[in-house]
Amino acid sequence: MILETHDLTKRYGSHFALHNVNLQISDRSIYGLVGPNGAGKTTLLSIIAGLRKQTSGNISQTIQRKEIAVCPDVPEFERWLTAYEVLELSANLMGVAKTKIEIENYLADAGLAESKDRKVGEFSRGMTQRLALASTIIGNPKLVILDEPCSALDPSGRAEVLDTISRMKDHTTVIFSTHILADVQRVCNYIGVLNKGELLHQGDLNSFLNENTNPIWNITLNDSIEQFMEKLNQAHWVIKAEALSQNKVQITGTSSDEVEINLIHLLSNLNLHIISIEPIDSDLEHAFLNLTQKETTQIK
Amino acid sequence: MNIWKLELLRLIRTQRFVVLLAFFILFGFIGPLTAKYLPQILGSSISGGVKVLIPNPTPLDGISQYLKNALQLGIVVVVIVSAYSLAIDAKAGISIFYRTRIIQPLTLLLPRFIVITIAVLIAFIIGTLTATYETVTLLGSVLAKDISIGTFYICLYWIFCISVVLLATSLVRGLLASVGLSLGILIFLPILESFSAIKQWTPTILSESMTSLLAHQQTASYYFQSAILASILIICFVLLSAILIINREIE
Repeated sequence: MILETHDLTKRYGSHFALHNVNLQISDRSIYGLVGPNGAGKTTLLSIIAGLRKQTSGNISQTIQRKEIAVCPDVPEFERWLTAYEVLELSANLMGVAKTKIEIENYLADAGLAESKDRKVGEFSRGMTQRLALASTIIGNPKLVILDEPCSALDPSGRAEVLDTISRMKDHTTVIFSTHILADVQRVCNYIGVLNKGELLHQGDLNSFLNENTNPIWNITLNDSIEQFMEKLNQAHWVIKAEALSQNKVQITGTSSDEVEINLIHLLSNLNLHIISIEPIDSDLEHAFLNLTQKETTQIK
Repeated sequence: MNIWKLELLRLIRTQRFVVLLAFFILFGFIGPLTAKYLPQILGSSISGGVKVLIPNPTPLDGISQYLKNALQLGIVVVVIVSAYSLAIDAKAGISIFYRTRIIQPLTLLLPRFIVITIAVLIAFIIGTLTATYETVTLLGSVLAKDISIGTFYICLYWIFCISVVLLATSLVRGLLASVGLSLGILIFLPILESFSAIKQWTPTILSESMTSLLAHQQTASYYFQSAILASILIICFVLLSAILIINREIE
């Protein structure tokens, strides 16, 4: 682990912004920290970055603090510096020497090559956000903390930032907070779900999806589906069966294992002719909602 | 680009040095000029047989007139300009940029403090030279030694004022709050001069040094104690600010 938190708690008066959070970040992973607004994501990242202090608990890390770089959700720079000067300054402050060409390459990667001599005060929010990401990674940090890095970007800007994050996984570790779950599904391999200051889940993204989503399958037959639908509605491993057409059914199962075993048996027993069996990809949004709803039900 | 070049650019590109320079040079010109022509100005505005007797202006009047404006209005200008440079946590995004890249607070604070201080001192010295030249030209000669010693003491007073601003920016986050707190402290401090037991120790009496020396009311040694205390307080305020800032959370 490159960084771990142990029972990290942050309290403002009687309100717990974070409560006994045990975060575990593996080296060279892209860790998506998800949660609704007010879940405590920014507070947690600020404590890891050394910008706020925890009420109790501690952090252990195998890297030095200067090897951690932070890109805040609303980045700001001196309005009178140019984009080139911001990157030059950032590299200098992070203790790395960069040539003019290298700095210009970072600007080009951020889509700011033509704006390198423009004052940052003239930049749009999206341009500022891309400059912030470039100024964060220019120092070759070992851990990059990105707090909602896509919040101000248009779809193409967002895609560029996500590509940049994907490219980082070979040489650095990234903690990436967002409430856009599709972004996490696209670039992260680990996930932590934070809700009301508590870490509800963390681990491998695929395991999380398997554990917290009900598998959905589309089955197309070369026969009528009437008898098949009747049996599906009685099956214990089917949550929902829905006819999509005269010969196509969508089923939501209790788990992938149960559907995989029982579906073939059922089709075989009914002697039905199959055209296709198609699993529908698990959706992080469903998994997230399932997990947070489970939690709410347990609290009730 | 290093942090020192950044501070120089801040001074130049935000026009803060131009503002400081323009302010002190303007009053350097106006002060002695006002002293020289005050009798004529008053004489032309009074009519109806009223006779106003105004003594002939002296070189001391020229310098005093400059210092009166430079110190009274100057304190407001210096506090505002230096607070803009020193309030590192006034904007959260900018604060995060620096504080996640510079771990030692003194590395961040000292260049800002030193550069803005040098700018204020250069502007004040040029203003004083302007006022002295104008005074000598219009009203007569002044003792260079008294001007030099007075300038040294007043420069120390300006450094003290800027260290108060630095302390204020580490106690409160916002720019307006920092300016308000600094002015509050600097306006309150002269009240301490009314206690005769501590008057000679108060850093604010340094601001009167030049006129007192030119008027032969005090000697240079009279200000030693306040100069020593001001120097100690400057160091303490800078170190205290560093401690306060490192312990302050960024929201």
